[in-house]
Amino acid sequence: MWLAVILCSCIKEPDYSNTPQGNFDALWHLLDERYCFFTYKKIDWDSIHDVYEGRISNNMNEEQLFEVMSKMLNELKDGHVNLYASFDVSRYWAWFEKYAPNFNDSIVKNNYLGTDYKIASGIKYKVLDDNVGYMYYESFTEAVGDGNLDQVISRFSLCKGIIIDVRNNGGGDLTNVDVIASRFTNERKLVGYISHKTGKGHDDFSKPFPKYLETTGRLRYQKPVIVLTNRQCYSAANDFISVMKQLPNVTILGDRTGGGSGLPFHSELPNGWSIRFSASPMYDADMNQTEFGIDPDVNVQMTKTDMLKGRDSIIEAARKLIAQKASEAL
Amino acid sequence: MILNKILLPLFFSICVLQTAFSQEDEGRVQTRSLILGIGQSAVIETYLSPYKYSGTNYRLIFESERDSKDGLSTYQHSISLDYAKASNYSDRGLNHTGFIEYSFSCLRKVISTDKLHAKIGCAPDFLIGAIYNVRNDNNPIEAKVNLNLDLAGRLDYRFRYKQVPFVLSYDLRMPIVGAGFSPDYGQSYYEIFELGNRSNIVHLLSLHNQWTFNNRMLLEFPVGKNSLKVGYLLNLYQTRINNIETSVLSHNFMIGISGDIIHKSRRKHLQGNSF
Repeated sequence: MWLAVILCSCIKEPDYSNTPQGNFDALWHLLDERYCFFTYKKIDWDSIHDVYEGRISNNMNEEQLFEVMSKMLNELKDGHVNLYASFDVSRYWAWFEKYAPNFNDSIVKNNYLGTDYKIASGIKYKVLDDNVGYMYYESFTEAVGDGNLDQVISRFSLCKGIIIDVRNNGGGDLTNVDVIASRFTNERKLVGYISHKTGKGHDDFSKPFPKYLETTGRLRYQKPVIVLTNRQCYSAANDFISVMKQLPNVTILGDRTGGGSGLPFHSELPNGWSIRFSASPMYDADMNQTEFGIDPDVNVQMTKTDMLKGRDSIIEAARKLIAQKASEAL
Repeated sequence: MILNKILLPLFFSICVLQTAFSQEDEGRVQTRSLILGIGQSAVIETYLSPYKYSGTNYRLIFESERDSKDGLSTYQHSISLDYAKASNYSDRGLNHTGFIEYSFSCLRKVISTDKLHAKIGCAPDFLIGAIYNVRNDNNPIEAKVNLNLDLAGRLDYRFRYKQVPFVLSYDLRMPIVGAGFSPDYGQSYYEIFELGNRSNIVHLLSLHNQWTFNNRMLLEFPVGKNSLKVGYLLNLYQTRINNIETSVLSHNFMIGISGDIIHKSRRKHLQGNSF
């Protein structure tokens, strides 16, 4: 009985040793089989293996191994690829580090939100002096409920328009994207596509599956909406921009987003280090990749002059645009 | 298509067996057992991690068994709950594994001597459970929902030691055909349940992609009016669906009690003619 059981135990662990070479091979093969952007990013993963394997020796310590692996992972140019050890986390942040920040937390807090703003779950919101509703949503990890949004939209119901500021929002739960976006459409809309890997080959993908934004029976906002973006809008925030861009009353204003359209999965190496990687690509409604970001409808950069005066150029541009749209509507 | 060809016949067989059970007359032996187990599980679930997680496994089995009027068949309901908390080699990862399994065995005697009974038959079985990795984000959990028709068998050997009757039993159940849930290789549960892409998540299970053996050996002997069962369980659950591989190997030391709700004394049943 036991012999039959053991002989039939045909599923086994991969045969990588817990050595620097073994962990390197495990990492490379894991990504080779499961990472989803090799073809789109024109990455020669075999060649990268040869380059970095040359830097591996079984005498190296953990920190040295981590450094070599991190550099190899940075070749993927993906903010969703991270290696987690107990002493560090590898990351690729060039998608925003090389660009102007276009966001100043102090200016927003001191000169726009002030101290009398309201808080509805993860949303800080206030009606500005010119009767424009302003809401700042810092992270899609903060769950937003229908009750929260009812209160926010109700508060903004007499405003000329709403500014939704998602600058520096690094992403979070994709469910919150639809919860918020559904308040700005009166009909079901095709807003994107998703695909997933069906096998270990670099091009083994499923047929893209359409993503629809459903409208909601709760309060919906009908007047102009301006969504503010910068290079640090990533992952779920990037998806939010991709969705909102499809909606009729919405204008995207600010800088190009950082991207991050690969839904990340986790796995691990023989030594227990955890690895996160993009596994499932998402596309916009026209089947374009948004991994490297989405351009705004109106490109506005914060100026030093404005910042010295305590003004946020991007918020000011949004207010001006709302005023213009409101007067056109009259 | 798969639902019609697999699930409907399975469901039908469950209904037939249940009907047969409920139509039996009174006066036959009906036994209920409660068995606890503790042991080890070794889990590989490639949707979450390529590596093995090992840890302590806890199991609770409740069984109810009745013979047919002519004594040639045995019908057994079995519910098994098991939970394991397991970690990887480096002790940096943690999995929780939990399953509930219901099976209904219908066994026919094929060998019947004074000391030895052998029975074979079939057993529809339903398994639901999950393997959960605490570190993972968009792929933290792999759900298991399977409905199978199993080949089942039992050997009972009766003997005496110092005038005490013992029964040594070996049970084997092996799924032959069924259907089960599995996401696609790199498919997230977000895509399945939030976006509604449910094509290719129900699969035919058979010997080409499912290798499961449920083995159990128990020694039963009377203690007062009831009986005590001690033994060993070895279960192997393996599937390979959509390039996702799962292997759960559990072995438990088992101890339980068994009561005969018709006869007053389980001892008399163990040594009597009704065996």
